[in-house]
Amino acid sequence: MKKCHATGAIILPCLVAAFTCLPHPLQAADAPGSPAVSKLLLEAKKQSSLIAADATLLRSYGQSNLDWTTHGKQITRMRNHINAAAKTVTALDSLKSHAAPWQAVAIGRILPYMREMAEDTTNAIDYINKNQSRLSDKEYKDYIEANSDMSRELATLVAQFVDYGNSKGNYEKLQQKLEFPGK
Amino acid sequence: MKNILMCLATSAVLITGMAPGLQAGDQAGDAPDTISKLFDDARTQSSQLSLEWKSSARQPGLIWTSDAAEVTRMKEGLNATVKTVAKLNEARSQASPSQLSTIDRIVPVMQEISESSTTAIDFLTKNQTRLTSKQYKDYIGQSSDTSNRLAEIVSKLVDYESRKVQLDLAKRNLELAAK
Repeated sequence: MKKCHATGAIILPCLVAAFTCLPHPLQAADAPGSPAVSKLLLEAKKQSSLIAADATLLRSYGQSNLDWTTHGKQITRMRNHINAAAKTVTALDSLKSHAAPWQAVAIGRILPYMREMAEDTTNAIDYINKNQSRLSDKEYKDYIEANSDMSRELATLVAQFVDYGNSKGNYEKLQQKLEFPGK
Repeated sequence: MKNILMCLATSAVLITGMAPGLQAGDQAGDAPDTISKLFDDARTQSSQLSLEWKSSARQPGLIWTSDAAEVTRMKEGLNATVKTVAKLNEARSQASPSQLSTIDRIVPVMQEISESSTTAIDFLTKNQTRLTSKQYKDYIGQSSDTSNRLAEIVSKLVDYESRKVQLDLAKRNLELAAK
């Protein structure tokens, strides 16, 4: 059992690092706009990566035939990630009216994906908790695998939309700076 | 003969394995092929447009007011993007729910690509002679970066559609197995 926890302790930080580095490096604070919203967008990006890493970890449990009940701490951690993401979604939603136009567009685009991701991962955790005798079934493994792939796609999309919004903010700022009077 | 067949099969597996990302419609067994093809077109065209901006960024001497081949090519790329958007909109009635949701997500991004590229071309056409070399480079560089990110989003949205079909299928199988 100690070995299992030790393996998890090694895998999780590696997964988080890998997912955090997925698309472009983020410079959310660079573009003009509300700093509070930029900070939340950055949080959303990090939290999506964490949830995708959790989904991959669930997949690795399925492949290694480990006893799920020994991973209570991990489930708690996963649920904490989902709850944190839900709080970020609520905060972003409430700050939308104070956001710069590029930020409002980014919020509108990422929220459905974040919600979908949290819902899918919650469903996967609930399924595992309720169906522990079926964890070696092919259908279960296929499901967890598809869920993990989906989470990765969603996390990448969230990151790409945030990065794009930031890039667009910079682009608009530059264009305004270069606009010449009386052209 | 058997060896040749084995070799062909291995090559096919290798080529499939090397293909970047998922191909649209791989898992969409019942999805109309025309829509999957339009998704692929959207991916290819946005990526092509982004590459053309990148290529322009490397040519600070490009004259936007003249008929430079690069500018013409870029305008053709833009027109192709606009046509794909129109075709995607027309195809809504034949789309599966999952494809429809992807069309809803891809179309605004594609429109943004063409609007942003049109704005950039207009801006450069009107202001190129007034821009210093550094301003020009900064502008083209930032425009290329924006275009590249949008192209990546289109590509990821196409992958997302395939993954969604895959996940829905896995969920259905799981439910059936539980009964």
